[in-house]
Amino acid sequence: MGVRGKKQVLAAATCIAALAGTTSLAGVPAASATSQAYLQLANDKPGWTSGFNAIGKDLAKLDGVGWQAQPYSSTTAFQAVVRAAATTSKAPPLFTWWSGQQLVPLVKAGAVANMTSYVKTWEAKYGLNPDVEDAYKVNGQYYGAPLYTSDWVMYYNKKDFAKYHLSVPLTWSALMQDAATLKSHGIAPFAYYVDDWAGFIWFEQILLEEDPSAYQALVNGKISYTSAPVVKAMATWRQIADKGYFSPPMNIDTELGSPTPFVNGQDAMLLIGSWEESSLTKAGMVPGKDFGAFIVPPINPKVGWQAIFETGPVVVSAHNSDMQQALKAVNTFMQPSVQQAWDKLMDFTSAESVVKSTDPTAVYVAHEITAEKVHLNNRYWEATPPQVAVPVSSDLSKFILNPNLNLMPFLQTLQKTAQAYWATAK
Amino acid sequence: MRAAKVKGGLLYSCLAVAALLWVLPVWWTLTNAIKSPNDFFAHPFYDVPREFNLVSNISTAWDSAGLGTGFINSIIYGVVGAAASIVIASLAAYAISVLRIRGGFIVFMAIFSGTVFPLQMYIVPLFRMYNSIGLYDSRAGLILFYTAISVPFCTLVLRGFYTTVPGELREAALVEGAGEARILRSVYAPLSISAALVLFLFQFTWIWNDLLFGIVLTSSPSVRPVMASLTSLMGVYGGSSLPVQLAGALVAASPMLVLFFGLRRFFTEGLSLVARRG
Amino acid sequence: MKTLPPPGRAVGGPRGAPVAERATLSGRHQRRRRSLSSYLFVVPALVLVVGMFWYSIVMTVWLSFTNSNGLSSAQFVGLANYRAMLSDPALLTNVYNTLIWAVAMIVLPVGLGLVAAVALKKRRGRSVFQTVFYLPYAIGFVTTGVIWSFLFGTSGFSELFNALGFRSLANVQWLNQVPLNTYSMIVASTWQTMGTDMLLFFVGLDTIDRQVTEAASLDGAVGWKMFRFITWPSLSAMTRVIIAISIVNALQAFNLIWVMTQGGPYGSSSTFAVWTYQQSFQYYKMGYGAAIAVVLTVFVLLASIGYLRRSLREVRA
Repeated sequence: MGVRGKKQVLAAATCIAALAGTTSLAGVPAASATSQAYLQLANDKPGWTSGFNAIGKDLAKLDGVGWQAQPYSSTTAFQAVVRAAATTSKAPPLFTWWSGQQLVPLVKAGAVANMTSYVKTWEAKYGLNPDVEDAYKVNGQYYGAPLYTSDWVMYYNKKDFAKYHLSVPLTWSALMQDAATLKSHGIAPFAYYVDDWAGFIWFEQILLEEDPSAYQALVNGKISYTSAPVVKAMATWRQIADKGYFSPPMNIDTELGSPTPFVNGQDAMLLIGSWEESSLTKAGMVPGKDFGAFIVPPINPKVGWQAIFETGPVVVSAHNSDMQQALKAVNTFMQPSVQQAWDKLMDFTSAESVVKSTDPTAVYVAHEITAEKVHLNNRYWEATPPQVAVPVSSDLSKFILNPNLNLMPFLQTLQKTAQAYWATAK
Repeated sequence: MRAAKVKGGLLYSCLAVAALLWVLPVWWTLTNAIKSPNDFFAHPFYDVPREFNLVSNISTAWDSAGLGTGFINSIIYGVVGAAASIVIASLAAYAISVLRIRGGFIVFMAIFSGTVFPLQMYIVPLFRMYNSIGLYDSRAGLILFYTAISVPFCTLVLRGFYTTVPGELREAALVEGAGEARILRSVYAPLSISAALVLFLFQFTWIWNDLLFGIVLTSSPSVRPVMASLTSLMGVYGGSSLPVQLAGALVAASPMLVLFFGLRRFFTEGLSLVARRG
Repeated sequence: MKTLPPPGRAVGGPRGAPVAERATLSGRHQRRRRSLSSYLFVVPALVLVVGMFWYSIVMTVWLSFTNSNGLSSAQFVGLANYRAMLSDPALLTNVYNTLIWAVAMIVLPVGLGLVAAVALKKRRGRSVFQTVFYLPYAIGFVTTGVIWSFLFGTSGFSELFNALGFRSLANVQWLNQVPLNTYSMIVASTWQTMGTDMLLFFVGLDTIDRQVTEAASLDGAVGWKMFRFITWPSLSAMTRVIIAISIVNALQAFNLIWVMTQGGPYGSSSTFAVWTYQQSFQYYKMGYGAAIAVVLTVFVLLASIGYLRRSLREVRA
């Protein structure tokens, strides 16, 4: 038959496959006989696919409209595609996004549906935490429903703590004391990450624990990166680094799916969002037995307890023809029974007070939040516009790798970036 | 003679050392894919596995990542895309290097420039284009893309390859009244089978490896290729332990391995070209 | 019975016959008709490539003259993006890294592949070596990214060096120190692609006429002499191909870098290809990213045209 003959057969196969391709269903299957419709939920969290789909089925059973996950394993590709489609009818009916300043451009472009009327109900009937929902407020209107809310907590390896007789620190000095003890035994007290996006983690935490009003002012462009509170926070940060309390910097994206040093006790503590818990459990750690979590105590006790939280919404496209159906699905999603199921599947904590968690770590953190009246602040990444958050976080990795760099010129570079945005904003 | 042999022997042993170093990361990939997560976290990575957990890792990866349909899709894309591009490229390469059409270099650069542009920048324009002409989320659309992306490299290689075929073979055939298409099919194609097989292997591998376009140009799991599902095991949100990631990655890579071992015979034994002298 | 061909022309025969001789084979009329149908041969390739990619390229060029952010409507800003690029402090780092990648990826995998292919041409165990060197490519980009990111991380080589007693090596941060991070990734990339170049060279070596090499060795050409006068010249076609594609791939080094460091930390390992992606999709400056892409493309085109045109001319001669 020869090579050419084979090629001809393959060429024919191409045509057949092409025909098959053009007739394949693209996108949403039509409503089935039991009239359950499933809308596409585009997201960049492919690890949550089975959770999404299970809940999506529940939603369809409850109210006729559910969702189906459409995962993108690259966050940048996801954002590019969503933004490109956002103001057209090709936008996905539902998609995950980010809160705060990351949501603002979408709202300004008219890409997402207004959920304000629903929000009133959720807050009244289900006890939706207003602090959290505020992360989705733009110009007095609400545009998203929380898909997950993660507090940024300090996970600690219980075996390490038990071994050196440490207890959960309730003051900053106790925390530093614990760190000193751990260090003296050759354990790295705090796991440390350097990735372009991870630079803000300790920056936000320290600034917040010293001066929360300065933190809020900074992310809103009201004070400069060279101002006194920021300089002080950097000095504190540098002190911790100089004492050797940080582990050698790791790459967060490589490590967090598989956080080896924390799992085997080389690093005793891990400052991260509570969504990391599922990776810890997948690594074989048992919550409450192998690890626990606590809120970082304030550095300046006068400001009261503070914590960073992060929340990610599910939003509805304002341009997709299925907008009303999508809003209906989201509304069903906020029902406590659905929230309960969702949180159980994903090891999450709901933002609704009527939904209780069973995870011992989450229970402890929730207890601490109530007991200490912890005030929640949105994460730097969303609290400040991406045009500032992204370059500043990237630059902060310079500091992470070299804490003893020349501070003022460094801060001036950060300010220059921030200035470039705030000067032209509004 | 003796000196040459000694030098040859030295070179050989250097290569052997290099080969050993080369194989280490592959070895570590394999051993760590076999380990259970507990074993992996508790002991250094270079240790051998203490238990055989590969099957469990694979099934975890398979379930979490939903590798099934992606597999089939990628096989279709790989086979069809690679084969079609070789055919199309051989036509173009023949015209450019053998028929010596006027403006051949310009034509060649026009084709070649398909790969020159940074591929990742095609994401948004192609996404928009596919949406407006209705190719979005379709097998045909992906097949077209993969074929198009493979044509430039195949054209480059075949063009170079065809220049090594002696011209008198073609002239002899022309004298006997054969048309150009027939000459390409019966003379050049058989002679270039080794190049074609290498190209098939490379393009299949490239297509199989593609992640970005697989996720940007499609949305349904029934259309998406395998890497799109695989990378869901990685990363910050809901990642898996390294053994599971590696097990999933190896399973996802298995067709490329199978293809290589299947075609290897043709590369290592070498195809005798005595025939063309006959 | 063929005599030993002069050096540089291992594939013998009258391919170098002057054009005038060819002209006698077909009249002017026949030639014109032949060229029309000859053009048909390139139509499928042209249509496919131009249709698929040129729209994107044109759109990107247009984007480079706007301030698009990928979401809201864009305004025309003329050459502002290009001017901004010239004054961007990141420009030098990107140029530098791109050049390092280009040189390294042309020299290392190609050089090693050539040496390996030639040395193993007639040896036993050729297929074992081929397999070992090709396996990294066969296991896929994702596996490569995962395993090398791990190895360069804190639980990877550091653990191994600690156990072996090389404390100072154990403390090296392979992906966080500059410029070590770029070199580390180059190692991973060479590991991954050397086998493919070796394979292509094997194919090229197999096309060398056996009679020619046998005649040459009978004449006393062995080892280096054989390589220089017979093997190397006949590999020239394949080498050109490999170098051309290496130029393009090297200048476009993106995938591995993105997976391993995302061009970081703080952009220190970024190349043009990474930079354009980052600006377009992380910083939402699509106009700026497009301008960077255009500049990169121009460079790659210039480099490859320069190289390919010369090779095409030489072949014609």
